[in-house]
Amino acid sequence: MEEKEIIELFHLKGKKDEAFRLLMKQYKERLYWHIRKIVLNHEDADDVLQNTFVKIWQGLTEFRYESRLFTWMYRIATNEAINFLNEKKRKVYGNSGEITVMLENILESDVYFNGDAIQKELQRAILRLSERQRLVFNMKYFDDMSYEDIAEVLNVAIGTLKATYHNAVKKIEEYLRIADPSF
Amino acid sequence: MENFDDRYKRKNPFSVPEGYFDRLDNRIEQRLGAEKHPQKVRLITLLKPYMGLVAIFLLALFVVQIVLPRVVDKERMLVRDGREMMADQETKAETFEFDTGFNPTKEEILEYLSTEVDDYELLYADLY
Repeated sequence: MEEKEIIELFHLKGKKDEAFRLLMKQYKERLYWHIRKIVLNHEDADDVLQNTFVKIWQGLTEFRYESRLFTWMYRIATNEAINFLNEKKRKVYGNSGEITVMLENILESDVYFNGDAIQKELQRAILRLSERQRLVFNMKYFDDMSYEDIAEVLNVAIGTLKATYHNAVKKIEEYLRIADPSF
Repeated sequence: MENFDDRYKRKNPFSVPEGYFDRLDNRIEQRLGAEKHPQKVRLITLLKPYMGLVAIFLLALFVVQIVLPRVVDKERMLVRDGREMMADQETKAETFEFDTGFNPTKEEILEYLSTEVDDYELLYADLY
């Protein structure tokens, strides 16, 4: 079902729940994996995803097509995940801690990480990027999103995004070359 | 980048517990249900934390409004009664009138003294 049809259904009397069920069915997995790559831990991703859907439910009545529904939901998910991480870091490490250190610990102890040693190294490399580089890299590389979509989600110019992605890839390659000289 | 892609193949290295996505819709709907229809909280539950404060306030109000005025009034009455008694006495003293027309002669004084004072006293009076 098209985004527009879901929104129209949502605005019909007595059809809100049905429309929202369709929305969840269509987007839950994509939003989950987007959140998971930011917070890493499954339980945290589950919490953030539920909060995201609550926010989507609350905001859908006021949704005015200023952006596409999909990028609007991605933006909510991104903000929820970033806020969650910052709050978690503050609770665990106080104001002086580094998010990278916290995420490295989460990655090392994640029981739902099925990747091999090379993939783990790639994840470690991604953790060394800045927050924006990490977001852009994940959306472009893993989710295969277009620059136009990412620009809508992050509200950043496409030129800036291209430069950010390019720098992120360079940094990762550099890290992997040091970690694995055969790379 | 080709080398990069060949090596990592954009594969998602994370996984979820079995059946997670199948159960997810129901869990989110339950969560939304709680958001849409928040549990009605009984008034007494809301007021419970403040009841102690209210009791203290009422007790203080009772003391200030009922008990204290009575104690103070009683003391004031005592003070007032005391003042009235003193005032009465002062008034009496002020109203004590001397008979300005009374002008006894020397003989009358001696006669009065002779009845009131004995001879020894008179003797001492003459000595000093």
